[in-house]
Amino acid sequence: MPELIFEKSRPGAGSFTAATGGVSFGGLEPRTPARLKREKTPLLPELPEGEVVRHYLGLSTLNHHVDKDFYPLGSCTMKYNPKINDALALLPGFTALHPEQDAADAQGALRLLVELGEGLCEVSGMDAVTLQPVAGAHGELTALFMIRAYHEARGHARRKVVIPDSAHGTNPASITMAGYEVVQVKSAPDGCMDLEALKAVLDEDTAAFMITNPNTVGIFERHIVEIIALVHQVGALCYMDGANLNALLGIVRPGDLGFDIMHINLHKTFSVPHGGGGPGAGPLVVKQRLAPFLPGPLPVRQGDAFGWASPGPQGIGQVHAYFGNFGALVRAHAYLRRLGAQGLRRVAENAIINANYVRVGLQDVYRLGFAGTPLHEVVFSAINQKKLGYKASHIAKRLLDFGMHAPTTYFPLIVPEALMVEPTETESRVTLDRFIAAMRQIHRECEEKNPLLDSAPNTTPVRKLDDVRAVKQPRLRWRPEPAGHDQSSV
Amino acid sequence: MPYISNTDADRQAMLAAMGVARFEDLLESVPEGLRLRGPLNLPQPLSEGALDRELRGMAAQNRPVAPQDCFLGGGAYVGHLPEAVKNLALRSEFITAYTPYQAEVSQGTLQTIFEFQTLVSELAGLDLANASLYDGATALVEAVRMALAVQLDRKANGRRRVLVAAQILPRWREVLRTYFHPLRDEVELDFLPAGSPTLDAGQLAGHLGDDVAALVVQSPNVFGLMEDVAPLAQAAHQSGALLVQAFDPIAAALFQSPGEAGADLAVAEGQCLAQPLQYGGPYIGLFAARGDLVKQMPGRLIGETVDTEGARGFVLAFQTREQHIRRDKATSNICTNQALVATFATIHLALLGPVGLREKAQALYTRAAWLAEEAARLPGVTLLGVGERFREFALQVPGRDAVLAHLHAQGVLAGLPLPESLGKDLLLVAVNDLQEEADLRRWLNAMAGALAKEGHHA
Repeated sequence: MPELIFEKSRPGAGSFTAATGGVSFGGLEPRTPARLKREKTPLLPELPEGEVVRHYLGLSTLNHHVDKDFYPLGSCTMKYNPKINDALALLPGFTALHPEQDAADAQGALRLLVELGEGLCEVSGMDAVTLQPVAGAHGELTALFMIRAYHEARGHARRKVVIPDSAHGTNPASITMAGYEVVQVKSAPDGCMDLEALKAVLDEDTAAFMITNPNTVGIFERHIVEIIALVHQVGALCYMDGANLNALLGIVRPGDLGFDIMHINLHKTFSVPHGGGGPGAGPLVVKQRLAPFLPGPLPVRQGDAFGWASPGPQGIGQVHAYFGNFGALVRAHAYLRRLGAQGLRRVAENAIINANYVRVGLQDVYRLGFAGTPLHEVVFSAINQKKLGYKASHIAKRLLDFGMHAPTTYFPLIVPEALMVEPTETESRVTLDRFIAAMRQIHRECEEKNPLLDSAPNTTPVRKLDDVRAVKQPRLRWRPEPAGHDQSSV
Repeated sequence: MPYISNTDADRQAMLAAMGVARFEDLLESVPEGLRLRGPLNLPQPLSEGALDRELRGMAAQNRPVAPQDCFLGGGAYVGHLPEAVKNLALRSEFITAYTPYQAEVSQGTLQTIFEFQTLVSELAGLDLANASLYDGATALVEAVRMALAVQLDRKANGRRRVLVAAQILPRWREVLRTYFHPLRDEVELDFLPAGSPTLDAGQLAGHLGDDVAALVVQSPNVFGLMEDVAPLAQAAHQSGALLVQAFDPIAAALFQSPGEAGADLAVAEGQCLAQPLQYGGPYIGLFAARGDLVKQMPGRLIGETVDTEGARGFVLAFQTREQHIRRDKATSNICTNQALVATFATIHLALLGPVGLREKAQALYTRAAWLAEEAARLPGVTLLGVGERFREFALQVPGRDAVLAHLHAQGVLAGLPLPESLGKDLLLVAVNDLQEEADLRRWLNAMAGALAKEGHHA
């Protein structure tokens, strides 16, 4: 691995200083504070611009990324991120807007937000939207705040929120943060909701039911209408985790199914790049009866113009200092406009075709997590391979040697040795064939007890890394060598 | 069809390989009655050229700020971002990578974020920092949640009240209120009364007590004034409470760091190090803490380790705190964070180095100090508070809204009007490092002219 930037530092080598570089005092005599001064200079590195560029360019080449090769991460929707979207988000008319400027000075931005919101409502079959949440989990939490406000307005906050045991980890974490108790329901043997188990836990104290649909095993909940009716019968609200919306575009609208509220991961379905872990955007679309509880302010049409409006006295308040990740919203809007109704439908169709093509290509060697035809992703279980001595993690690491990213492993929790594959619609049959061939070869290697599986990954910038050591001997930051410093402490 | 790689022939061949006649056969789990009957009602799709034209048109309907005439701040700031930062951080390798769960093919992101954690903890003067949160306001929420968790961990179960200084940014206060309102039966947010430009330790008497989990202060505060945090931290600690400080990462090059002042947790909005204004986001929440509190940290942490051959590498560490493992017992629900923004901040700080950052801070300090002094001489105008300021200052401006309107008509964004709850007719004025003395003088003249129109003459 390359040295850390701190280890390359040489005193006085920085080139970004007032005399020579990027800082100006604007013609004024520089001043320094008289009190409350910093005692210890922060240990920032000192390198000339050219060396800083080489350092980070070098680091960048160590990443796998969508522009390089296949990324079959289930539940993550790693599709191609169109370049035009980035270029448009970087237009100075968007980047140099201060969030406190008058609405009159931001008419184009407001129009974009309003039109994006309208588009998301149409796609989801919902009535109103907030674009403020900046991530899926942020959207979930905002929804739970709204759900609580809704029930409180009706006199009783209720106590618990029900989820299936296949739920994303963010669901239970958000439920706790909103002050609700998590009630987890065991899935049926087919990976779908167990209606009887659900009935057993629903009561007047249930605030909401949260479900991902298609669920985290990629299967559409075929009893979804009955499920929603059961939930509504006890006066609870139905929340859809929109993480898997890519499968439904133009085919099914969650609002039409009866869902009351849903977040949409624009960094999945709407092609906003993941950025190595963010920024994303997690807008929330809701039915009319929840609109009064939306966080404000809301971008709205005002005749021919656009402005900001308050959702009213029942609004839950702001969940972000400003209006959300505007830069991500511009990219999502560009994507929506480029595709239109027909394009979105094609996205879902090809996502589904690609996932099933992989299913059919591998199901004779990798046991399927569940029978049936999944939609946009397929879950395998590496239990056949485990009998040969290799776990899902071996297979995942070995796949890295083929230049492809690994599938999601060990999720959903209800499938042992899970390998979850979501090819997305932007991959071609050629790529899928290459992936299938690699996975089949890895299976043969399992049968042959090929040592490359134990040592995998073999061709990556670093070899298999020791996760345990990172916790047992934590080093969460660089510190200068050694001079009596205890390097084992954080 | 845009962005779809299979041709119609591929599609047919793939369906045939699956033994399926039509695409619809793959929808067998979706009850027919639930499917859409017609196309979505969306505007006609655009070619890339037409899309480019439409969005450029929208961008042109905005009035982007000109740095020389922008005195708007309050948490989002204009500033120079070196070209090398944008050039590197916008590479595909950083932008189109996923969260680094597969460490062996994510060392670029992992090492960069490890460097980021080091830089943030250095600026904060604390032992460790996480891999980023959504923005400054939500980072403050997480710090308060963490302080409450630390108290529970210490078995101080009775400490469920959080004292919050009045002098914090109003939007951050609003976000805090949103997050804790649902928990109001368990946690009390106790906002200290407004009235003074800075918080004095003496004002804490009667507020601190054995039910207080944490004291929250911001420095520089909502009026641009540096708080004397050390005595506040001391008072908090004496009563068994933690001190949470919101700080400014650039001010930290010049002024006492949160760690030096005794803060246990420190948060900041990092936009000024990393991003253009872009209408409020993506920004980035910086989060730093004392080293012994690692297990209660929210968000991702990158740690150093070795590979099977002994070479250094980096991985996601302490994942057992996180939602994908710990689920309802996680320290936070955060999953997607602001990793790319952290990449921008890291490269920027590496370019600036200790000298460049200090000079950038000094440049902002100098402009604000000079302009505050000059502004205090404007007729009818009062400069709020005494002491050190950073980047911003608050003025009481008679007829503020009318004055602002006059300046706006001249293309000058004169400042941010503060809410009545903080005082009458207050204007928060921010300088930036792209302004020259002549720009500051133009603001002074425009203010003088507008005040004169409102009947205030020199």
